[in-house]
Amino acid sequence: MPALRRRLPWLWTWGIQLGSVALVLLLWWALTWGAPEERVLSPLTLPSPGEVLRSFRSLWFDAALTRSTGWSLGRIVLGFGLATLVGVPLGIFAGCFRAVEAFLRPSTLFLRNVPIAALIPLTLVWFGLGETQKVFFLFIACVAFVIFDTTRAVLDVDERYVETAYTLGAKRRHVVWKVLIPIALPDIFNSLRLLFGLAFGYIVLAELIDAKFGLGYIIQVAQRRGPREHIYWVLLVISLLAFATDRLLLALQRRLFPYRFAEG
Amino acid sequence: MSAPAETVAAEPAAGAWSPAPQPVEKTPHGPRPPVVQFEKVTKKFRRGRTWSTAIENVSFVVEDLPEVGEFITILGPSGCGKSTVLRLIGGLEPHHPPTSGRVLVFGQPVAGPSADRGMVFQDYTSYPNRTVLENVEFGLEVQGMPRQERRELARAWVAKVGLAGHEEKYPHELSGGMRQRVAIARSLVLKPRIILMDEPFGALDPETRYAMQELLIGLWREAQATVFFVTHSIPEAAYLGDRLYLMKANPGRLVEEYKLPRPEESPLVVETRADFREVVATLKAKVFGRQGGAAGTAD
Repeated sequence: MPALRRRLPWLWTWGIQLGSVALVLLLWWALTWGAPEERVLSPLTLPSPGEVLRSFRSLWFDAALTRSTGWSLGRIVLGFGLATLVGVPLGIFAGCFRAVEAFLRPSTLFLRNVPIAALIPLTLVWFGLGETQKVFFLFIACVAFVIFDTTRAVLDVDERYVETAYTLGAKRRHVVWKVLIPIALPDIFNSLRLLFGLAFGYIVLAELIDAKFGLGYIIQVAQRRGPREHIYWVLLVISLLAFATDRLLLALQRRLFPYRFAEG
Repeated sequence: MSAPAETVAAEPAAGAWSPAPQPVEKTPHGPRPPVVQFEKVTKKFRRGRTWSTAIENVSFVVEDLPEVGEFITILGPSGCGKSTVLRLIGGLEPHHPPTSGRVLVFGQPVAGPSADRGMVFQDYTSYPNRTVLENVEFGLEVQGMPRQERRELARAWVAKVGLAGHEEKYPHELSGGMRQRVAIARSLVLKPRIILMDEPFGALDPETRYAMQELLIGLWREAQATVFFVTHSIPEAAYLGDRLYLMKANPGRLVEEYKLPRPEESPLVVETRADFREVVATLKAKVFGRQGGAAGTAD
């Protein structure tokens, strides 16, 4: 029996991960092997790996994969950027003053707990069918989380740091700008990184209605008019993109706050 | 065991420890306002529906002596209100302000924290986002001192606490003892009149602790500030203090004070001396409440 929680040699780790992927592919291949009428699962339910691979050509040219990806990314960056721009200052404000926190708490609590998909009809009523609706949907979906996490990060700064600052002659504004914000910043950045992943997950919802381009739009079209194979590609692209951005932000975070996030 | 006559300051023979306690000095008689004066200070906290008393009716006076600052250690069991006394001097909430009585610093009631009363905590409070040098600069920076000037001053103090060569390191790269050196330099660079230390060496291993005690004494001599040093280590309190305040719990109160000599030897040497060990044994019995604590408490 292996020892509890013991780290594996990296070769083992990679081997097992590859094996896991291979197993899924093998299962997929086995379930969709053979002529269409002989398969365990019909092509309508699950296309074979080969069919999905061959559909890439039409995905790239007919469905304009790169342009759609660009549009989706743009919407996420805009919507999430707006949520950051509004949420971080509000969160800092709430973390510094409990009255502000109490004032914001009901709204953030509501927005964090409401089923996000249920907001789509409302955003359509408010913002129409265009780009504004998509950006604001993402904004509304994320902003409460940004506010909440930022507030938390500021409140989590140890009171000792604040007391020390006062006994070193700091005034309230010094404590905010030189103690609370800089010490909370790594945590704020970290939660923004995690929330960005959340925004990625909402993009398909945002593009559900009347998108001209976008990864969500490809899924819509593929579901209605085919080829269904595109859906699998888009799922893969979204998760790969989300993973890549996460790694990128993680690397940035380690560069910005080396004293907080050690390599390893 | 009669207390010495109150007019005599009863200085023990130079260089020798005496286990005889003295009544706590409560009224100022120097020409200048005392460094710190507690006038019947009581602090209570609300605990749900009941009140708990942190300290009750604490009075003492620390005179402003010309050219020197006293080193005062405050010793007592946990819950005796040592930290409360310290934080009242520092003006730190929620201990400040007192429920009743007055806390005076240089004759003025304490209004809140300020840079003339530096504080060093037990927890490592170096700012994690600042290098050693930037940490030491903090107080000068908020004063608005120009960068070049404060940089030089901070560099000098970093060297004084023995951290030369570590200026650009971040706190997470330092050991506990080094972080406390940063905290001490950061406070002393501001030339405070009073230095408040709340068990600053409590989390250090014994070896580091001895080294830090010697370092602190050296710095204190130079700084000419009055130090209030809270500890629950009896040898530490006896070694460091010119004067030792003994506190008791339930309710927290100040019971007696001891005048102690200032040794030239290191703490390791002093701890082998018979008279020092006798004082430590006496204090130990009092802190842990054996012997009934009956020996001549004039309170």
